[in-house]
Amino acid sequence: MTDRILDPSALPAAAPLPDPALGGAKEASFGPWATAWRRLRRDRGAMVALAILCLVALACAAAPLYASAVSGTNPFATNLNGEVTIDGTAQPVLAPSTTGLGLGVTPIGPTWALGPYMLGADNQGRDVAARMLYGGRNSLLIAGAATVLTLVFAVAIGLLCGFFGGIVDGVLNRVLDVLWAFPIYLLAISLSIVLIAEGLTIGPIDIRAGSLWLPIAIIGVVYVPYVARPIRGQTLSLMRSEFIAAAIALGVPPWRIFVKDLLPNIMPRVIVLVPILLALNMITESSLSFLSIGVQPPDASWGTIIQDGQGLLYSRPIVALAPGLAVALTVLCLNILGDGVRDAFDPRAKVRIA
Amino acid sequence: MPAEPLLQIRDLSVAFRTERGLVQAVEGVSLEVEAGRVLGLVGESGSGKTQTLLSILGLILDPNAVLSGSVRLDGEELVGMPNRRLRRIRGAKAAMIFQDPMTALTPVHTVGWQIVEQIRAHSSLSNRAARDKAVALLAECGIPDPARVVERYPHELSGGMRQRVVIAMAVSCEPKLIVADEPTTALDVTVQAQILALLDRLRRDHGTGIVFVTHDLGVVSEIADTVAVMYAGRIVESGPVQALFAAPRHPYTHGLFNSIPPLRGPRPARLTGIPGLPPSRGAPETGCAFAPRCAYAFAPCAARPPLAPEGAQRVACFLPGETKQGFRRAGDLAA
Amino acid sequence: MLVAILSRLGRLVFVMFGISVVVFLIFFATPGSDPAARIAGRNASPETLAQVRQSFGLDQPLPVQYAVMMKRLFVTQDLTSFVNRGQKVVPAVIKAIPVTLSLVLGAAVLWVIGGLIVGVAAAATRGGWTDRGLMALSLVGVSMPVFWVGEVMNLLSQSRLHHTFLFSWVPPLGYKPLLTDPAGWFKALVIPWVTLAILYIGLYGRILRADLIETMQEDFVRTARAKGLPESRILLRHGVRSSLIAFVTMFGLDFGALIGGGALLTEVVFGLRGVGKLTYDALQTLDLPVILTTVLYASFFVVAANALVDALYAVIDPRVRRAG
Repeated sequence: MTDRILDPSALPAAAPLPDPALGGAKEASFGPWATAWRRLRRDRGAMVALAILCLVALACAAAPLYASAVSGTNPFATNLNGEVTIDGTAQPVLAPSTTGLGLGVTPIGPTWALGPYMLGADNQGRDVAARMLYGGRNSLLIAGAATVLTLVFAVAIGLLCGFFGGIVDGVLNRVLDVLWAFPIYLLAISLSIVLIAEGLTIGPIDIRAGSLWLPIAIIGVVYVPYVARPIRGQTLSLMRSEFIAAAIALGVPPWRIFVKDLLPNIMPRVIVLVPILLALNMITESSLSFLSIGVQPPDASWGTIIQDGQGLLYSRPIVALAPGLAVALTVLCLNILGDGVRDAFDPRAKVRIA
Repeated sequence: MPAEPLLQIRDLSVAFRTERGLVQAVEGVSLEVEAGRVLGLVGESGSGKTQTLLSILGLILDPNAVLSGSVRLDGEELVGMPNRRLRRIRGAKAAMIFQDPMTALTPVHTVGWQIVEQIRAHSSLSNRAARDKAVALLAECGIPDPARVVERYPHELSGGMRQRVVIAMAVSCEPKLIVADEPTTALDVTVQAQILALLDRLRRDHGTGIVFVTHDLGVVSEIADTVAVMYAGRIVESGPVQALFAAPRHPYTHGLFNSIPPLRGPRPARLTGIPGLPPSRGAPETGCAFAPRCAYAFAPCAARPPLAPEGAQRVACFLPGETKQGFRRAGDLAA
Repeated sequence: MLVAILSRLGRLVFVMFGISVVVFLIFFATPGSDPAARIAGRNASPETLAQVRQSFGLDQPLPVQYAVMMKRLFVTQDLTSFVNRGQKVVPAVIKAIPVTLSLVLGAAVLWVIGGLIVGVAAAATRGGWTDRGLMALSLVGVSMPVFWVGEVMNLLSQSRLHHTFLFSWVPPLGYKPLLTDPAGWFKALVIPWVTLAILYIGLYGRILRADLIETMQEDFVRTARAKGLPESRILLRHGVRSSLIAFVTMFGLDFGALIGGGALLTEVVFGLRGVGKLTYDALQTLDLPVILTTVLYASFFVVAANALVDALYAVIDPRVRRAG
């Protein structure tokens, strides 16, 4: 049963509206976007997820504040011989290991109190809590920027293929075919290994080694085929639809059809993909950083901190556990939000990118 | 005391709970079908005919549906019967034929597999015996080379062939009643005629009662013994097919006839049709549902008209008898 | 039929060729740095650089370079690592394949069974508590980075709970060959299997549920109900059977992708010396020839797996079988 009341006059004059909040006649004046937004707002899970995401983003944005005002530690400088006063007693940040062969060090454990080393230190004596916030900034930034990059490329390619068809479509589609068959991680690894040491210079674009733009570009590129393909398919089917045929027959200029007819019809599908892509990019970023081909030291991301924690897994598991939890929580919220957005915009959409 | 008819529906109502309150899809419908007879149920889309049909087999599974009234099949009350027992009746005593043969069969199994599945669900026949029976059924339903067709998948058959398969499946357990939801609508005209002939033969050979839902008056005139016309969830007129076709007495029925060209006789200058649209969500709570579109509407129409006997028919309309008798058809489709 | 097979094969060859070109271009024609320096590894001597230029034909035009590269990879298989002086790359990769296969095959068995159970159970109890619980768990499952799950597993099974009855059987990290030590093989891989499968159980469970719920709205399900079949039979023989097509497609792609490098993170965390770990080690030392080889071999494997899925289609989807 549709949500829209077809014709108010078909209702008996005295018909009571069961719920004024869902108001009958008023609803007809809402566009599809407003309707979707209203549906999304009613989805409590999605709203909670959105709130948590906002909190995470805010916390990460406040990283410098935390480092200067709360922990008072420099999260980027090694602190091998430092001491810190906790509960009135001075403790070394890195103590000689007491287990195994006594080699290596055991960093200070979490204090669980606001102040220095709330989550302990890593094996270079750096404050894990502060690094987490800074790392979160990078993780979120990379995921967000890569998502934008993917969508821009994918929508452009998908629309071009579907709109022009013919040779353009043939060539681009073949390229997508090849990239589609290319395992994502292998593509990302190949690109990273080549670019990581020297950076990338193409004409005016100059990305230096160690720049955050490298992981952004790499992650942004690898998912393009997965997003472009369905958009191309939808554009193709739109091009065969009657209202586009009518527009063409009426002599509407192509750019107008492009902007007025195609883009608005593609948008819901694109919107639905945003949270999913963000989630996927979070995971991809942390994976690449874990493999040491993502964010480069001394910069941090949740992935690099997990890697830092790998060597301390049995002595100070918090170093690996905390950033992993942060990734899992963020991605979980994005997935919940993604389900909500899909239900609100396009309930029948099949959302699986990779 | 006359014996109870094969199917007896009394005061059946189906409503759905929605965000905007209860929507009445079927209201106070009463019908009867005798063994070996065909009842044609006519109406526009959304008039509640399909819901009526589904409720006969207890197939309205929407948790928001509210069902009331009585459906008695062969002396057994079906409304309120637990699903477990209903299942033994579905497909065995009462079978259903759906509108679109393209989608009514599971695409991943051969048609033979699907017929055998039904036979074995209701009998203890061996797989082999059931298969032989399936072949025989397909042959009876006019499918050439049935031994090969049982090995086919639905997509390999034409629409008409598929509908024959669906019918073969429906009659596989010798049901006493077949309910058919627009079984010919999706088919070409020539195939339509063949399917109608097939159904007609089945009811004559096996004494099966048939409820035949359609919006096609021509089809009704060919196959039905009695007709019931539905509008907005209620029956507005019912009666023997010849009487009703010769002299419709409800303005809506009259309008229906006037919106199709007559087969014989002079053609009207233009087809009249019925102005306006049927109500979009069930019947309004009070008054005659057709009144807003009715050219003859007058003051009494603000109340709900009862379905009252009038001549050979039963009509739900307050108009005086002489006005209604004036609804002569422009042509004589029924002749 | 023959034409169809030939055109499929043609496509396969085209995609493989395309991938090899893409890989080649990435490694040899990315602007900004000297490929010889990349291949030779960090701090290579001028002699090594010269040797690399000569043996890869780097002073010749790109198509020639491509041909030389492919010949050394697939025909003579004499590509050597410059970081690990003289180590032949191709045999090393081939030696690592059984490890990766063991890991992925076991996980695949787990996730197919788990995904089917979760999806069917959730769809059958749609809207109920079982459904909600399973879907919440699945969502958590797909939200955790697999390498992190691996670390948590290690933390529990190797350290914190290793002394309890739960995990006392878990051997130290590493791989045992199936042929010489089947029990050891199994024990060493159980935890990695579970780790890798968690993500996919969640993914497949969610997708199968959505697919099943949609399938159960189809007309043919209504027909099945009208036939008087039990609900469980309708769900399994009509619903699941029809949803299986999407399930198998997805499985083929994922299986291929895992063999082709997706299992890399799991191998690293559990110290399994498979193709992924080989790639990882090469990443740490920037050992380009090794990465080049694993990437190409793995992508070909993925393409082959996809082709296999296409063939499998014909078995489960009658519409493809006879139309082909």
